[in-house]
Amino acid sequence: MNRVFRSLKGEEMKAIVRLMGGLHALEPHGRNEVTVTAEGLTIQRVLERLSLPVNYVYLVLVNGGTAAIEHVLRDGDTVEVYPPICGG
Amino acid sequence: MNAGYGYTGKILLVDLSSGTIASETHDDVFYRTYLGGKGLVGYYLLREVPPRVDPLGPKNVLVFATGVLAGTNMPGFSRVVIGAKSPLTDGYGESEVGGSWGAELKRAGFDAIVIKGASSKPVYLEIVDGSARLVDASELWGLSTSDAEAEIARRVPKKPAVMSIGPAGERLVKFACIMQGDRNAAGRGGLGAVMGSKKLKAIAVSGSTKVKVKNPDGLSKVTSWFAQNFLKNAPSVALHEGGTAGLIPGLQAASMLPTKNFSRGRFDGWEGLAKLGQKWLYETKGRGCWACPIRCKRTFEVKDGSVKTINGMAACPEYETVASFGSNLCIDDPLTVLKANVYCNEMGLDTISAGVTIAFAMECVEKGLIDDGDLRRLEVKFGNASCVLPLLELITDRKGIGDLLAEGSMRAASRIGMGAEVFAMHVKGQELPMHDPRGKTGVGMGYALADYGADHMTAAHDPLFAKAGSYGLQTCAPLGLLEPVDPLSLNADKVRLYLYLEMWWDALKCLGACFFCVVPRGLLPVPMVVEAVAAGTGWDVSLWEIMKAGERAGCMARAFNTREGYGAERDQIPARLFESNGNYPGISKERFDAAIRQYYKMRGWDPVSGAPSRAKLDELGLYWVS
Ligand code: SF4
Repeated sequence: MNRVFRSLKGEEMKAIVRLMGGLHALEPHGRNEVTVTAEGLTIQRVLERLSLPVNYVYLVLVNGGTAAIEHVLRDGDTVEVYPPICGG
Repeated sequence: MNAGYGYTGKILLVDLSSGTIASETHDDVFYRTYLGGKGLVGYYLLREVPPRVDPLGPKNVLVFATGVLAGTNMPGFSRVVIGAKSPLTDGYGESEVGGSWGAELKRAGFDAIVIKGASSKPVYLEIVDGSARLVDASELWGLSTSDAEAEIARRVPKKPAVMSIGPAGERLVKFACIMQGDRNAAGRGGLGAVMGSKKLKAIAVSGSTKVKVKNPDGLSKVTSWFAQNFLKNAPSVALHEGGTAGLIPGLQAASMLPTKNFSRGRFDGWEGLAKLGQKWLYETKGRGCWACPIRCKRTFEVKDGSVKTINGMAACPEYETVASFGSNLCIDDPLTVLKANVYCNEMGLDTISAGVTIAFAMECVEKGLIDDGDLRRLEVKFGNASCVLPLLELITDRKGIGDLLAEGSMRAASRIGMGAEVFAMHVKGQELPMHDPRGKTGVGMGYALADYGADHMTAAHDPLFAKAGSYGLQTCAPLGLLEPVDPLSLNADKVRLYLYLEMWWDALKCLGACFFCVVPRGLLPVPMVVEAVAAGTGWDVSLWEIMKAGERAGCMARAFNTREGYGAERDQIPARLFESNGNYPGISKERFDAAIRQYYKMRGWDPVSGAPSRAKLDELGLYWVS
């Protein structure tokens, strides 16, 4: 199901997803940043749509604060997803 | 000597007191037992260093050792493990370094170099295709590492790879490092001071003999697979594009970015520092170690003359350096960090210990524990970027307050007294690297247990194993790590996870392998490591045998410290880590101590003293170790 939410004015609800720490290598088009029309979907669902292995994601930030992968996106959200943060 | 594949079978022995150079050979059994790298370091330190010698005296021994695949096309397997009794910890000291020197040494016909004694005047060691000589280095003494390297390169017909010390090592700064080229540092343990005490300025190596490989097709199967796949592997891509400095945003997001001498886990000025992992003011280029396509070592093209460059390029600081001169000092200016990095590399200072020792000084000033003309004049305090470079100069020159700080934070704290010890963030005298164990307790175990003092490279970090199906668990199933473990736990599952990961990394240290190239931190799967060793050496080797070599090397390091007269009492982390960092609660001391005791038991070590039992040493074939 490809739900696209529209506001009362008919505009698409947009969220930005940033793939951090090399995760973009796993996105089929290698994109660092993807704009999704996704209000009402969980982050997990959005990542699945982007064909990203959800198990590789360690940390999710929504608008700068940590969030669960079940978080439901809203218009204007900025999401950052990180792989496990390790040494070096 | 048995004709070896992979290894040359030859170890170079240099006595700087008498000026004699010899070599000894070993057979297949020896190499299958000690493997190389860390295993050879442990073997020679236990055999050659008498108990309780002065680490900066002539009786200390300095070992440089490669692994059995060094010099082949195997990406990331040409690292060098350097060891000696450490002036920082007064025990087993070890540091690893990349670059091309290890490959050159193998191609020059040696697996390792063992250096004894001390020269009466400055010398450097030159090794060209099987022959070695000591050369007067009086004119090089006092030069920076890159100037010394350039001068030596002019004198050797075929361009050598050079390990050298800078003025900090010559002046016996306790955390002086050994540099290979302008960006590869054997940073830890103060091994640069050991080299300085021996009046050995540098070791230049140039070799042109191809390393003999038993099954070249088998090895190139592994290397081509690596070349074809590393750009599909997230951790490798992150390193390829941003180097380790690319870790800043993630560690800030995870509240594990050491800030203000480890009192906090988040730094408001992190975005300034994150520029060092991006395409910033300057153009950047990736450079790498021998045969490695990841090329994670980034370089800035600096055009405005504000930083010393080599051919117009300056090495980008690694993550550790960015945090130790940045967030941990509350400094957000990337240019200060870049300059401090170049200065430390040129003078031969370990950037981790230097930064943490400066953080210690800043906190002592803040708490009113030290008052000194230099500290007042330079306005040494958290957040003041302008005091960093002048302080580093005082440390290198051992002038004024720099002479005290050149001793490292533990010794400086005990001289200052008045409770300054609690602000010295070290384990066994070696300063903490830039990972906050409050958010990943296995890293804290590594800090406490590392025989060479606090280090973040003893085992892969906990977050890789937090979730079922995670990359860590998928790739480490062959090690028997099958189920997720909470990054904050300290139960038996955590101890077992840490122990197996540590043995795996000790095995990789014996192979001279880069952790960024191998699972779970990188791409190369466990079975392919075994396949590559088998192809290189011709041995019918198994994962069991390789893991046992790792366990043996870890045991030898511990046995060295037992012989020096210490054990469990020094496996302690700084008390500050038992307090909150503002986001994570402090680690529970009681649970932490229990986990450390359980680790000893799981390893077959004495649960009270932490010393390897006789039975464990015998099981590992270390009958000769007392
Ligand atoms: S990943 Fe980086 S440090 Fe490791 S071998 Fe490759 S270039 Fe060197």
